[in-house]
Amino acid sequence: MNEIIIGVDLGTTNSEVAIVEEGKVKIITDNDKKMLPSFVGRDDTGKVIVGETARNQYLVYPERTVKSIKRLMGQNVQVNLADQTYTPQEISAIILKKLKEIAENYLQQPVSKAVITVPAYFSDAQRQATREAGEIAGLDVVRMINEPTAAALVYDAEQTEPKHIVVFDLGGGTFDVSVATIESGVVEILSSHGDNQLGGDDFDQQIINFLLEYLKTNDQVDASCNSKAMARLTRAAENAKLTLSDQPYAQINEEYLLEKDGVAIHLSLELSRVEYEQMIDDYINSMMDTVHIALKGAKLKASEINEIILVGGSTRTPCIRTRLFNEFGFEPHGEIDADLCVAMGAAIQAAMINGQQVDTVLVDVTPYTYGTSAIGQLEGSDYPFVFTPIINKNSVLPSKKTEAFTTNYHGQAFVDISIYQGENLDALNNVKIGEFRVEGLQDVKAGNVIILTLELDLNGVLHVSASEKSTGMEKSITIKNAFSSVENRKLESAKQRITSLFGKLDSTLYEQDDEPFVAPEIDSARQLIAKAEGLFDHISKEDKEDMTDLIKTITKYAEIDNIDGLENPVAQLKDIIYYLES
Amino acid sequence: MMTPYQILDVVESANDTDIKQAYLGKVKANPPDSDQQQFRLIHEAYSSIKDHKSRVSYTLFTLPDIDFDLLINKALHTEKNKPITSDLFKQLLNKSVDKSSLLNELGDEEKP
Repeated sequence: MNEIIIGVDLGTTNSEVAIVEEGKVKIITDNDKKMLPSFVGRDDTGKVIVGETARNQYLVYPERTVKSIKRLMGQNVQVNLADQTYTPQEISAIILKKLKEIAENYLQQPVSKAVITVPAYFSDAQRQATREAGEIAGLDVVRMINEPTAAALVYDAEQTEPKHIVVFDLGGGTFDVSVATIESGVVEILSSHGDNQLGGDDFDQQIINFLLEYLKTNDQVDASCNSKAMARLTRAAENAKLTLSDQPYAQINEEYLLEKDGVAIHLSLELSRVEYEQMIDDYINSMMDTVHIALKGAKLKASEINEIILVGGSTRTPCIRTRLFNEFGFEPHGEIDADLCVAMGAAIQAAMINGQQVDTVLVDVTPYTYGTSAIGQLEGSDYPFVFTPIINKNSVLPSKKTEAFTTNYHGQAFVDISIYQGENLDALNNVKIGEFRVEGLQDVKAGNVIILTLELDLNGVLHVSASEKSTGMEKSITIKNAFSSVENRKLESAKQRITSLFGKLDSTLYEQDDEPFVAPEIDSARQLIAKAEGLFDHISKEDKEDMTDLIKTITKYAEIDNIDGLENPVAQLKDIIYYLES
Repeated sequence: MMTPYQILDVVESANDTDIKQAYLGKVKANPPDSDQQQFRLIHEAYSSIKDHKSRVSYTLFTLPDIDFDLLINKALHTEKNKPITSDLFKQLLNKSVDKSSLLNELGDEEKP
């Protein structure tokens, strides 16, 4: 049999890993827990901790704990974790590595391939970041599938009568609505729409704001700059939200929350569901707008929908269910597990890619329009950046479209091409996802034809190529290589860095049992390399080059277990690090 | 070059339901994950004939593949070169195209 491909739901709040085993989908548990909280931290010994333990320490050590990292994916930012900075990709990679280990523990064999789910409304940059996180974790991401689509795969597809379904997916940080038809074992997504920055976390934030306001009026104290108090308020808000899913009132009690002029301040109040629903009303309205846009994209009316599938913990909010009932006139489908169905769908898709027989085949669409800009008319006047769509929203994946453009003036030697993602007529109001230049064009009159080809693959990742028609000269780029914030080389060092962090994980791991003996010299050399690479961002080019050379030499000796050869370069590297740190 | 009907393995008189079923069957047998090229072909075929509107526009605006050389040879080929007599020339000059004569001509061509 082929090597197993795991299905991973890398969520904002919780993550899961699943496989198909003897034709059945199985969520792999860790200590009997199906969900791994998406928290990453370092404990007081510097050890990396992931999941429940990290979630627990968040209250006490928020500065050494990271939560909801998914919200930052695809952004060029760094997060602090115990005085070190990490990219969102690296933090996500730590979660993925943990999931990989959970799977390896269960399967008792190494795992190196995964299908990872992403919100349908994830942009190109966010998808790239997810793939990079996989690579850093040592996972080949064979496919990224959209979360609502994965959920639809779990739904029994062997329907003889065609069914129209709506998947309403509200996670911790993202929101998607997809409309699909299911017929004869094929799940066809007709349209997707969403918001990649809206989720249950925003509901929490509303409650937190309310609590902060309450403390200001009642105790004349501002808790927002006290990180420990904020962590407790965040947890209290989450708990209140969960309580309000079942109860009309939630009691919030946080004793000794903080001190003011030496006096302890206790927070104690009652929050009603009615108050809570008012706080989140704007969000719910915007979600219902999204539902309408998705229906319109699918050219269906609410009355033509047969089934609603709810995905994500936040869909337990009662007023969401009420609003959906009012819209569609029936209750959502109850058999599908809102927390686990995405991972299950990922596992089904993984099995399919692996050549296993599965019941359901998937046809997905892109939620975004991709195009370029050209000179044209906008609101009746000439405008140089008119958006020219090439691949339209809700096109079936994979999609390949070609458009011809001409040069503007005689002897034009190059053209600059910008690629945008969005729906606005003005390209500048859309998200620019890449820019490149086609050079060395023939010296001819204006009107030289340039053919631009956009290809959107099954992962929703864009590949772009342009060619001069008369010569066939081609310039091809994948948005990945040209625009990613993390280059390949950087990715490799990130991988080493995260791997070395994991060296300090507790000993329950599968790999450690049959890992070959590693000499302590080699082990410490590796740690030294990781440390050196951690400094790369803050040092001069010359220092960096010196260090890179040394690292190469050390790696070479380490690979052949030459302990004596290590001695010299290790000492040199130590000196440089000592010098840089002092 | 196969027509969409050939790709989906349906007769040209097939209705929406038949075409949809044929499409789903083909997709099931050729999922996007196994052969993207093949899937794209199937999907494009389906898009071009999935409903009445698309079928009409397919019939109207999609020309069959034409072998131009063959057509030109056919056009230039005549049984024997007819010399233009003065009579024939006069006839040609006087000939005018009106609706009924055109229809007659076309009608004649239709005859086997």
